[in-house]
Amino acid sequence: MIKKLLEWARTRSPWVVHFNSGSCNGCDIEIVAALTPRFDVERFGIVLKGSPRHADVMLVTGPVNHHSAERLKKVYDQMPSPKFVIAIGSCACSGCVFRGCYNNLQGADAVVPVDVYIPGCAPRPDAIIGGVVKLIKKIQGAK
Amino acid sequence: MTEIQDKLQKKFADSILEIKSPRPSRIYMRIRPGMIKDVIRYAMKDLGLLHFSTITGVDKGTEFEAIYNLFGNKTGLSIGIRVNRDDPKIETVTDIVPGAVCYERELQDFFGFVVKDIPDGRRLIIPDKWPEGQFPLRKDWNQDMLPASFNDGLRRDWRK
Repeated sequence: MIKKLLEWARTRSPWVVHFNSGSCNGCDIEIVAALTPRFDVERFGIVLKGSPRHADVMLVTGPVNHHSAERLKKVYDQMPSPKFVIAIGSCACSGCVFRGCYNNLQGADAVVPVDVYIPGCAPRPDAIIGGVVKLIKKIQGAK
Repeated sequence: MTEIQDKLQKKFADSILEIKSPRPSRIYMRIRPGMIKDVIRYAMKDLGLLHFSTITGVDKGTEFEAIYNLFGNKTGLSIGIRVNRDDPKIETVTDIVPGAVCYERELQDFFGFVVKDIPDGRRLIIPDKWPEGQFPLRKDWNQDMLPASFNDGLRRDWRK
């Protein structure tokens, strides 16, 4: 009974926090665009929160490097469990054009466990919403 | 030939190794390393090239080149100095341009230039845990030269 209630609460209100690990702002603008009434993500219960302590899902944008890796880990550790990470944009997925650079970690999954990868430079708001919906389905399937 | 190029050639005739001006607004020159301060001082004070834009480092194989880019007076001037790879010592220009300390620290980080009399020689750009004696923008550097301890705290090896 309580399990069912928890799952119901989790899948209907995935609050997100946004972490920029050195992005060019392209993906950030697409996230902001996805939050506008035109795309209406609140129908899935998605709300952008200012603090990682209030969030279930972290949206990572940008190529992760040695400087931002520590901050990314700190922010991830502050989130309450169960927590999920979505890598938005090719940079957060694999490093994109920065792959092979001396300071690039080639994807956010070098630092935190990533649940959903959304490629694109930058991905459209539709793709970001699609990724979050896939994550909701993943949570439902995991039980 | 522009007026600025004319003046530079007259003033520093014996220390200019190479000078060319593909467009009226652009001058490239290479000089003897010891003369860099005099040329920059002259260009800024007397020729009106007041915007000290940046210092670029180039790995030329057996030599490193530091290119000082100055702009102003409708002209861009790039002054290159080449130093030996085994002993890449250059002089600081911070007594003329105090803000150049950032670019000189960057040169030390990326190429291993040794800047004499630099007021603040700490690291600027490369990570704090970066090993000593490795310079990522040198042509002979690659990621395999980093020690394995560079992966500490990470979930997977990032060097591919």
